[in-house]
Amino acid sequence: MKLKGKVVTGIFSPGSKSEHEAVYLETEEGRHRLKRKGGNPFSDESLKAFIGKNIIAEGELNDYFFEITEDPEETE
Amino acid sequence: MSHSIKVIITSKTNLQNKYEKKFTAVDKLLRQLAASDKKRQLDTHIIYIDDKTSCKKVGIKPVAAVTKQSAKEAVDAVARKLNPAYILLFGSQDIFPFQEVKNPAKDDDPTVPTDLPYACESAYGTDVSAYTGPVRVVGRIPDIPATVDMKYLGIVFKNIIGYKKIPSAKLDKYFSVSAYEWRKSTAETITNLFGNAGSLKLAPPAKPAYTAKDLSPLVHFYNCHGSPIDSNFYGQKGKQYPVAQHSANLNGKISTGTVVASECCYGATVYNPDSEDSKSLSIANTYFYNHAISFVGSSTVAYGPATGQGLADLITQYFVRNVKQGASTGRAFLEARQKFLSVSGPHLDVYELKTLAQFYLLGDPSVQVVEDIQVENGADSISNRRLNLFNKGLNLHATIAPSGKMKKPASKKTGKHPAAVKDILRQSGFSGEENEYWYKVKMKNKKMDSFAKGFLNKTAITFRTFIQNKHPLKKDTRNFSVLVIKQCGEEVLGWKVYHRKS
Repeated sequence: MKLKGKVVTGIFSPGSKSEHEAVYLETEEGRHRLKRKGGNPFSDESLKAFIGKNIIAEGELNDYFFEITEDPEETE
Repeated sequence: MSHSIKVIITSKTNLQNKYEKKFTAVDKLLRQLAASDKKRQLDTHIIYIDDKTSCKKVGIKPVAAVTKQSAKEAVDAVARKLNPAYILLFGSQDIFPFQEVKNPAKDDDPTVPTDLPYACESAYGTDVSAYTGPVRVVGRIPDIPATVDMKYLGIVFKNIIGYKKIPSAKLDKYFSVSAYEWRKSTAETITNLFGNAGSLKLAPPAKPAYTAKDLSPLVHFYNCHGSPIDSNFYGQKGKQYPVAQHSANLNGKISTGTVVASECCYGATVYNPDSEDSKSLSIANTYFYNHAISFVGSSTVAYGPATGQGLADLITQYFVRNVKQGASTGRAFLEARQKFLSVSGPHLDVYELKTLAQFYLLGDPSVQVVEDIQVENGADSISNRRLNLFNKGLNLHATIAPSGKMKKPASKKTGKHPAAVKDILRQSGFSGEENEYWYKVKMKNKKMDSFAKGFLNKTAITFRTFIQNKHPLKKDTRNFSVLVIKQCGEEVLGWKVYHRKS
């Protein structure tokens, strides 16, 4: 599936043992935590490059992540 | 010594649907385990809660369909009827459901999958506050979700059936990996358990290239990051999160009878390997595939400080200590839960409640890992121990007062804090402008309620939490993540910080 939105950062589960600066995709329907399929869920430099940008990304949505399967495209 | 009762509880329909023709082989494994239990003075009953014949044998009603509610009610019926010393749930979530309670903490988990309600007398529900009195010894043998693997089951059952108790000194060595950031807390835990933390590995630099020799100790302890449906545990140093352990790295390197405790978020989850990015098994399933005997870990996001001890550090540590002292893994875990409640109570904040619910025991709870430790001044039978644990659990349930959400008092909406709170905010590195939530302690015991009201001028006890909304990992600063202040009116009774980074 394809999702369109803005890449932003946020703190995942503050105060927990998993707390970290996570990357999210803010879409019109809601916010999804981003991860590349096979990538590190806590820190992925290639995703950080999109922070603040609007993208269209192909991927799979599950209960926890939107897992990007192909390189996202930047949009206006 | 008289025999104790053990029950193996599962679903015939779900096993038949999943294993199809191989169901008979699964049933045979269960019967082999029950037969071998006789040598350990255990009368073991296999109970398919959705099978008329099986239920009739133990005098309970079969369930029409296996749901969370019917599974809980069936376990309660079995417990009332047979008073088993050990309850073994067989199968992962696609065979026998985890219970699911609402997440009491403010984090990203909507619910908490848990086996805690199966260990409690309270009726089916989704409020964890009802389950503050665990009285039953419960464990679960997980199969591999959505996967039929008879080799795996063969290994798991062979290990349990053939298990021979070992001298406790054999649990004096350990394999332990900690995220670098949590090195102080983990070193304290490991020193408490083993007397020294000299072999503790920190990630980074540690990574999953551990040799069979590294992994040979019979106790494994992890304090790393974990992620859902992920075959890795992760270390951390600053903003680096390298892989600290990978399930495939364990293959062929684990000693038979290894006991594992993992503090990691999602550390004990078992999932369909087809859903995982690299199609790898969960770390928990992989341990059992490689002859581990017991695994304690969390279903969801867990909590604990980076320095000092709290929450996940405590419940996992108590479990390992009890195993080393000769308890069966099931009793070790029940006693760990009770000790956690005793230490954390009488008033539980929402992070303590979540910790209680989210950790569960995988493996046969009747396995005693080490030989009986001889004491000169007395001994207890299993029945006497269960009586004691049952009474202790009921007492805990009667006296522990969990907390629940409340609206922020109108008088506190100004953003101004009294001097005592300002002092705490300053000491803990909080500004007071973080996200703030209020919880009220729900007293269950009238006498305690009346004492507290008299003692504390008839004012309710509250927990006030401040959750930082900015990343705390800034160089040369001391910041914390969640601040919990316990107070009664304006009087501060105490405060705690969870997951401190320094």
